[in-house]
Amino acid sequence: MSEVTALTDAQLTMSNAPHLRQVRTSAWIMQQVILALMLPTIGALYFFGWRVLVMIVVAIGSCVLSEYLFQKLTKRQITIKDYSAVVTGLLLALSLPVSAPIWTIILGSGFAIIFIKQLFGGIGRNWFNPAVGARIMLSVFFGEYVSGWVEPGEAVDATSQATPLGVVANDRADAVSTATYVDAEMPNLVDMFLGTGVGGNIGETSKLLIILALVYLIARQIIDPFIPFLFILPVAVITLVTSGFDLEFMMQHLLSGALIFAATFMITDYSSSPFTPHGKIAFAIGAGILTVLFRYYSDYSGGVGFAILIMNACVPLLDKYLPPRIYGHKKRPI
Amino acid sequence: MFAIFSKLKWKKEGAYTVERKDRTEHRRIEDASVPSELVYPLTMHIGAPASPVVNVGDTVKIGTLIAEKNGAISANTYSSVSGEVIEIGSRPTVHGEAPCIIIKNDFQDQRDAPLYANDEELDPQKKLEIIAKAGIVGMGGATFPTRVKLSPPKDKPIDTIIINGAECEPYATADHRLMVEYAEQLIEGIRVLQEIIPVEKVYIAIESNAHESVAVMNKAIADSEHIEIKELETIYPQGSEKNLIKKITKREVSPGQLPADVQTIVINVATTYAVYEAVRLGKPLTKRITTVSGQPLKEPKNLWVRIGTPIESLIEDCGGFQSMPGKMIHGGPMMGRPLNSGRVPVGKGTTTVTFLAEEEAEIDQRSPCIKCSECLNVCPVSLQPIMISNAYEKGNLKKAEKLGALDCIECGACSYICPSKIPILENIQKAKKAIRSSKEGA
Repeated sequence: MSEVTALTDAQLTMSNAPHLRQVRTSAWIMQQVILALMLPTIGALYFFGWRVLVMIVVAIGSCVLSEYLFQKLTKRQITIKDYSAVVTGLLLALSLPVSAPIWTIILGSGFAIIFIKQLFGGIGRNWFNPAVGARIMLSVFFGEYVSGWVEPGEAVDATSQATPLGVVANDRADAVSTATYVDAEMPNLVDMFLGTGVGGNIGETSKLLIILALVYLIARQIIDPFIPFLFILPVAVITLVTSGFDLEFMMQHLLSGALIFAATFMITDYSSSPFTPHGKIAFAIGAGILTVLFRYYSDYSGGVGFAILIMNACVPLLDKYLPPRIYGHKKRPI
Repeated sequence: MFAIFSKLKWKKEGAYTVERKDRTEHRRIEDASVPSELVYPLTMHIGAPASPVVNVGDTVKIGTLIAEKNGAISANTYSSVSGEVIEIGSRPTVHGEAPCIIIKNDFQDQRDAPLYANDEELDPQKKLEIIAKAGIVGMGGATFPTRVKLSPPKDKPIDTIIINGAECEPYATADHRLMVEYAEQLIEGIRVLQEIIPVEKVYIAIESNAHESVAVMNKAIADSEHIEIKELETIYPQGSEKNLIKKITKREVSPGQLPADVQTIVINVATTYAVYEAVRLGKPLTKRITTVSGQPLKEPKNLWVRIGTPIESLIEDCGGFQSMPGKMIHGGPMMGRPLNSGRVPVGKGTTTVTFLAEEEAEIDQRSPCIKCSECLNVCPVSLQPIMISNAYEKGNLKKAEKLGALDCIECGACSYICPSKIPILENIQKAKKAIRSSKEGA
């Protein structure tokens, strides 16, 4: 063999430092989130049956298609290969009850991708979390279709049951008329943790599976453990203090509704949360406090979603006023 | 338990880069072969180029002054072989084509007279002069004249010296091997520094992945109570001067300030060794240890290299290539400069020569920012790198400056970590340039 490896034969690249890049790409990160979402997805299939599969396929399909069509029509670069639309679809499907009509899923997906994500400039630029925004839109305008809590095993058209959160809300507000929930019984904490026999949105019932997904994302260094923790902390503290240190009441709050799911997948969303470390702290704590306030003082049971949307709207302010202090400077670069 | 918490730190202020030290960290330093022709750029240091003091045809020995420093921020240059000056002209260097002195080696290895007479009495001032005379500059890559560093203004008392053995570039092992094989000489070099600047405490900063050098140095300092080893986390850019000062003394160097303004001096281990050789042995700076590494090389090595040796000669010493290199880098892959000629000589600041395979040299296509905020996490000076990059791309220099573009130490951790492969550092460098030139224009 001739001397093929002489320096003079080499095509030497002359680009500037750094000459190495870490292996992970944005698409890989999204794939990891999808992988983590498979845990609650498996739970949803187990608890709620085959319709879950249809919901997920429809949601992902409509999200990816909306992104493709919008970018095609507006002649922008097609970015469906970054998997972020898949994540949005999956999140939206998992945050709906099994009784949600197919058209609400299609409508929500289109709204999430076009109005919340693309009109703001696409990935990395959307102010609001697309899945959360679409979920809220659906429950505000089409509440009767998407808030029928269905217990596992029930037929899709069965009578709605109280969710644990409804019962918690009822406990707090005896005086307020919440007649719908009067007969409901609070599921025990173990069932709430495992998701066995508990009604709710299909991906949110088993906290165990969601926490496993959370651990996976933290271990993969895709999300920072502080953010979910700081979101849940105020909920725990406020419920504990206001209930006169009733641990069971606190646990009911922590294990009900979308709290843990949002802590894992919504509050940690890159696009719709702050850049800056201190901004992130304020964001997570703020969303936690707002969640409790919504749960205490509003009839609407999906307080987590509203709390996150409100904090999403604060992100530009948080980033602007809480930038990190630069090394050697006394003040922040505001 | 505590270790877990430190891993979970809110802001990492550095990046965990790939580690490629295993290729050379256990290899003893070997003498590089000495070529028949050596090239000495007049710009092997920061500041004014040195002025040649030899003419074509002059004979020189090892340690003959061939170019003299030009003002305070400049450095002397010595021949590293005995032979004859055959040319003074332009040659490829790390900084592009630049004037060089070219010496033909006669392979006699005759030595010139030492820097000072044997019976001379050395006071601190005299020692400083020897360091200046020896042409010593920061050998960790910055190449700032060491004499200037060691002469802080009288109103700024120094209380801490940090010996920088935190070699954070992924392939570099030259400083590590120096600590392992020349611990005694290093301690003697530290004593010289203490004789010039009496301080309470000298810290030797070493990254925790260099277990062997920590162990060896710990043994070596056993009876020196003024010297302490600081084992630091292995994180890039741990060895940056500003970073080390903050980690060890909890002080921060403000913009426009020098380390001396916070009573601190940071000196690289290789520089400390050169100080030892100059002041104790009377030898000027004519050789250094360079790590020559990377996947394409057959046999990566740590080499004692005569300054002025062309890189192509080092490649031969390493057995040539086993695969086609895609990139040749003067320094490490994080901050080094790309080279396209094997004729570029090893200079005083050549810590490492790194070769990347063709596939390693490729960088993925850029995709939109997903706002992961990793660049903020890894920035050692707490900038918001992507925001500065965005401001520059939008033409908003004012915003880039306000966000601290000029505070960037150009470590490249932001570009390294970016999952969307955005050339963040490149944009910040361009922003800095534009801001500076607009200031000069104003």
